[in-house]
Amino acid sequence: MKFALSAIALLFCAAAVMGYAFVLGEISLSLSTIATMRGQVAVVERQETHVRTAELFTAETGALQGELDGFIAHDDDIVAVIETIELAAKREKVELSIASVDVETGAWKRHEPVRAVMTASGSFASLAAFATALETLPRIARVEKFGMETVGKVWFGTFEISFVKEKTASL
Amino acid sequence: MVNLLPKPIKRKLRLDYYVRLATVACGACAVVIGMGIALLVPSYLFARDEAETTARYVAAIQETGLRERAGSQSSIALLAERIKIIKEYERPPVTAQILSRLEVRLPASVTLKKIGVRYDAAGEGGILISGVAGTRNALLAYAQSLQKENIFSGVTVPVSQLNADKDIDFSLSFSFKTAP
Repeated sequence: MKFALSAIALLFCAAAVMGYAFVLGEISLSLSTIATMRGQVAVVERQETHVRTAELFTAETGALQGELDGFIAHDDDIVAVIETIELAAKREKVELSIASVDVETGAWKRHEPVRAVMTASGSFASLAAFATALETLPRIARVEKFGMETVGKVWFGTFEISFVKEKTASL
Repeated sequence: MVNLLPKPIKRKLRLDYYVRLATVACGACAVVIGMGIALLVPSYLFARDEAETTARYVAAIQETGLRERAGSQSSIALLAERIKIIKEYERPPVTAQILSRLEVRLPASVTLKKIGVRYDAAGEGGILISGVAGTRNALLAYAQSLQKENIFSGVTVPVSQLNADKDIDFSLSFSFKTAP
């Protein structure tokens, strides 16, 4: 009888120790979860601050970004770019013929380069002025190369320019 | 005082004593630990509840944040790419400068027939000109005067083009670089 009582006391003691360990473990786990979550809350709050700053920046520079957008060609104003080039040719008294306009593969995600090759004829001064006009197009554009050749008094030129177009939004 | 009990009885009594002592100790220990558990239970419940609430809060703000970030990241990325493109496309207009210097330095007896300009970077590139020079000296003088221009470099007349002494078909290749 006395041994049975001792065994029961021992069992109670062991059960109490295990119960204590379980409760302590659970509390520790919850505390660790809370600590991790608070860390994540801090990260998300920092990100939120950045987002607010970005939104503020976007709002404040909206007008400037709109102006910048005017220098980038879009699908519906490629013709306008070509017309600007033709207008420059007319102004500089150059006979212009557009040979090709091709969209190229660029390294950008949201924009792509468009390459236009054109031939022109006129006086040396006219072609020089036309080349300068191409360099100063009201677009984000650059002259890649050009060549001029004379036969008699008339000069013939080949011009290759590249301008930037925003990529067509994929559906 | 002398214990006169026989040795087996003494041993039995000592064993009984230790068994009872251990039983009482275990019982006391179980009671103390049980009280400890009872005291920890509110903390346990509170911690578990707090952990669940925090997890739900994090999930909610992450979902909202993701949507907001996507919008602002897209417009910032578009702007960043445009700035990068502007830097890449930024070139000073140099064509007029190049052509005027090629023409101004031209001696009367040298005629240009072809001019080719290739732009490699901002204000830099290569030029290829060809034409006819009346005399060898006129060609050399033209090359030298072009070399004197600070935007041109590497203007040299290949020896192979100096075979004839008049009406020389020449071709010069050199590079240009304008000051930033």
